[in-house]
Amino acid sequence: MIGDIFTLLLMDPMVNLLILLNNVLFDSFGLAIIAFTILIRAVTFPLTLRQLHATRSMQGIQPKIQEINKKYSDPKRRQEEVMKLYRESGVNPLGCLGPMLLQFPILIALYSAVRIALPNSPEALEKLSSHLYDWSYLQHAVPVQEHFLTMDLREPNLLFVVLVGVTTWAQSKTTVTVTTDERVRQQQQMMNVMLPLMFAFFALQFPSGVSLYWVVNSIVGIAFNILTYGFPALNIEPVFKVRTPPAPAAAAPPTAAAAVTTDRELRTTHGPGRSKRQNRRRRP
Amino acid sequence: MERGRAPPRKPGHWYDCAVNRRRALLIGAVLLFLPLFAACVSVTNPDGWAAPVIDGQDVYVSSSKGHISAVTLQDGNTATARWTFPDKDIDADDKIKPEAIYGDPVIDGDRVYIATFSAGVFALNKQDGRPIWPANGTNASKITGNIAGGVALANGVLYFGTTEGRLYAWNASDGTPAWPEPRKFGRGIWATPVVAGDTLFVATMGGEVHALSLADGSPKWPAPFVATGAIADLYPLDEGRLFVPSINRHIYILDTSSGAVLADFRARDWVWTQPATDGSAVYFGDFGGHVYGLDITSGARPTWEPASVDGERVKAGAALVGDVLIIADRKPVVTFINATNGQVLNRVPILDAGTVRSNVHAADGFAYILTTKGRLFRANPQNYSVVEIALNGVKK
Repeated sequence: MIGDIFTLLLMDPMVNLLILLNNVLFDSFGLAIIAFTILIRAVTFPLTLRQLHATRSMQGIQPKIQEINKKYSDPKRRQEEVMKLYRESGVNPLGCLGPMLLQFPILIALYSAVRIALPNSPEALEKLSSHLYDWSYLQHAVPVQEHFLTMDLREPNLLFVVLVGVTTWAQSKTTVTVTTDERVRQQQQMMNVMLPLMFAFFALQFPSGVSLYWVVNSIVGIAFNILTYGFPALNIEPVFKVRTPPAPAAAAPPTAAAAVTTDRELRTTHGPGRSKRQNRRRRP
Repeated sequence: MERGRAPPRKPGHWYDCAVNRRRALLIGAVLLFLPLFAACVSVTNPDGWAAPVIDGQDVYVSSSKGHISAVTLQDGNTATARWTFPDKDIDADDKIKPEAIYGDPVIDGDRVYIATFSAGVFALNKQDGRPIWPANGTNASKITGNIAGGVALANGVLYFGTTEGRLYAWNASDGTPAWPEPRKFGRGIWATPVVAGDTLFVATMGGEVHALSLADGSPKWPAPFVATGAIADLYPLDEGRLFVPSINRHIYILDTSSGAVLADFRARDWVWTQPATDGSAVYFGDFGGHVYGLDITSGARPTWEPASVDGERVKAGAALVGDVLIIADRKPVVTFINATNGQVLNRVPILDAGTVRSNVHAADGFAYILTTKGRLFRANPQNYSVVEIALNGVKK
């Protein structure tokens, strides 16, 4: 059921758009993949920008989070204070995740569309027939030319394996690290090395058409990162102005009353929905 | 805390719902990954669709991994394997990975010729299934591209095309090249080349049909025929006519001597199949589940409204036995149709048999159907029934 909806609403339109672009762009499927990736990234740019903003806002309040972590030993209390900080700063901790999750199905569909539009076997071409719209302009184009710059887009290509690794690594290097926790930071640094290696390994198995998509996607991602965060190494300033999170008030010192509050009380004690009278009652 | 300060977000308690949101997002993420998984595993690998070939009591059947077996019919319901190639029990065959066989095996004398998708072309001994050539391993390294069709045999030479647009001519006796270089075409060759008279016909995925002299490979038409869609299949109707289905939904009937279009019929969906013919009419199905009967005595005129097989894709070529047309679709369901008026006589589902892409083969008053799971069925046009022929001893 989910698969059918996914196919109908996302994958089929993408397959047909790819074939259409192939026709428009001189019967070059390589150019179609490049144009298509840029187009999709442009359409999802508001989501990307929102995610980048959320990440940057999170980064801005990291020192205060660290302060809270040092100040409170009780995990519940610490979490409560962190959440209060989020609220007062106008930062949604899920803000980084939401847009990314929304982009997932698009990326997955794109990946699938590239594989479907590039049939690697007669059966795959037979299958493509069920994804194509009833429009002769599209039907006449299949199967698409599988070569791009002398490379067979259906087969893995070593050059693309390297490019996938390099661009994935470059994208992770231009992405802002949110956490200030040294242990988490080390984990992220390890991931920055492992992910490119992992994707390069995948590229060894995938058709180079998929790798081309990944490379272009990563390059566009790098460009977005630089436009949003800048690139200090090259003295490049951010182009997009990111809203600065409002400075939150200093975290209140722990109180005896707070230390003995129940879970239920904790959830509502500091909520902005409580009246001033209710909040006052909790004051020492 | 700064008292009276308006919170940046209206009091909706977004934090209060954070845990639930996280759970929802987690579930959402899992659900979103399901299509990813489905997409990853749904990549279609070569399977092959060579039709069963009957030679006396022997039937040559191919399996989904590009293996071929010779089975001997014992009675109406069973057949026993004589050999399988490549044989998993023979060490020398370990390195042979054919992946798929698309073209029907060609039986000639004591030999069976097969073209495999990835492992090249083989001449097998009909008695024991061992390769006559290549003696060891494969000859795939001598071929540029994969073979998505079969071989055509004429005058002791085997002709086959590849997905990289190369047309090869090899001596059937020893597998050596009959031409100094393969002939190159702009697009891939998926259809099995066709020999009619002294002419070799080659179709390309660029939508071209070329007529070449068997003697020297020179073009025999002033210009190749060009369709607006890819041509993945090609069949001779008789010495003078070619059946050319294109995946632009058009079916062309070409004059073999000049390349002139004798008929141009537009189907409702893709046609990528072999027709059944009695010389004056052709019968075939399309990917939309329509079955056509065309009078080809002059042009191509429908003799009846397209029959329906419930919208199921028809890749397998039809078989005509007497006045009964036998169609197998992807479900798979075997449909018996009255060829004179298009009336559906009976529909027999085949359960748990995979799908049917191989052409239905008519022989001895029956039609033989091979499924992607390597199961063989026999359709009886007398009583519109289908029975399975148990294949014993076929090595997987």
